[in-house]
Amino acid sequence: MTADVNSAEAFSNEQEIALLSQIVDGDRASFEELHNIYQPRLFKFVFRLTRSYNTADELTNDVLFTVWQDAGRFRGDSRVSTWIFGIAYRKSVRHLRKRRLKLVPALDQDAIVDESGGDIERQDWVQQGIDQLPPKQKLTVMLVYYVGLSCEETAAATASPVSTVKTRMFHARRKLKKHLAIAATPSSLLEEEDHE
Amino acid sequence: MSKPAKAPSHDELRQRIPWYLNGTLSEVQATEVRQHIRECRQCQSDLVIHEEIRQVVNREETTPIVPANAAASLLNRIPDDESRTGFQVPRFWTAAAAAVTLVTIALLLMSQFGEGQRATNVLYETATSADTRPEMGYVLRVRFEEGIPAEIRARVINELGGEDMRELDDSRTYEMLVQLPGTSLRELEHFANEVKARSEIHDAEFVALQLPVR
Repeated sequence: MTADVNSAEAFSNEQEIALLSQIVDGDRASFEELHNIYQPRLFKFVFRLTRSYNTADELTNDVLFTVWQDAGRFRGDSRVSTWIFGIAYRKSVRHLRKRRLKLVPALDQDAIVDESGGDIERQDWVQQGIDQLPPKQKLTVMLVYYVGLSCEETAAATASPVSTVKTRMFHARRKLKKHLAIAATPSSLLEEEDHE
Repeated sequence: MSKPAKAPSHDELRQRIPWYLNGTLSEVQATEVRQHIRECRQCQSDLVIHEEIRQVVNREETTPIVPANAAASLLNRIPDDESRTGFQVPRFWTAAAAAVTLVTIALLLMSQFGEGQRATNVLYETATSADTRPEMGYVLRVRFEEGIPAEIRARVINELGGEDMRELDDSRTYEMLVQLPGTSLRELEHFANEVKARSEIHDAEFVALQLPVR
């Protein structure tokens, strides 16, 4: 079950389209309504990507400001949520590239095993793998699994062909699988491989 | 009589797994994936990885409390006469209109500093935060695609700011300092996107804010 980012919508898509058309006419009250619907969702989406409160706040405001500015550009050929998260996608890609954000520092292999011989949790490894994905792959994963977009909606949001979206998910899975395989390999064996 | 739909291939079904997991496939497509996974070890393995990704992405974690009154705060930053896009404008004309604006502003700047003087004579300190100041300088950096002929670069440079665009060492990158009201940061980012959308341009961005040294 995906997060409640998409499922618990306060407004239907038709109602959101109506809000957008009011925003085009400069209706601030309508913008405030749409803002209140999307701001928490966008904030969580960006925060999970960046792990930075200030960045999440800044990017969220940036996205919503663009919604205010470009409401007239919405053509109605996708859901409003797809359009808005598409804006979030583009701004997040630019941000991640520009800042060259390292969300989680690469774990030292020797630090994996603690004194008692236990391993870091597998979920943390998966999270680290996701964090290390290239920006577009990571964002595609978030749009599919966190926002819950269909393949066609993801393609629309990212302004990419459906085939590109599928390829990004394919590569993301492959990278994660490789990352988890490394995580499962004892560090002593990795050192042997390095020396060969 | 219509032909029966061709059965999807293994690769097609494998690619559908993420959307099978997030529940957005049609009933027919989901059934095809479910049946295929029962018989295909490779897809079973893929399913496991994808499910792990999905769980981690959605796991409960502490998210900072969203700031209150955020809508009001954002609305207060939008001037009453803020112009918004109400219709589709061809990208070139939007960029051209903005370029004319920038050239005009650059000319005004030059006239302020007198004949022969340039805005770059003013001392600036570099900052990266969008402080609210009456006026700020923005550094717009534009990088051309590789192989763009010199005459086309010259034409684009002329549209963007003419001789105020300073060529950097690699001969594909140009910078220009523009002074505008502080609230214009987002409008300029919008403009940078328009510039970046042009076929000749590889990248366009604002790399720094230049604040006049007090």
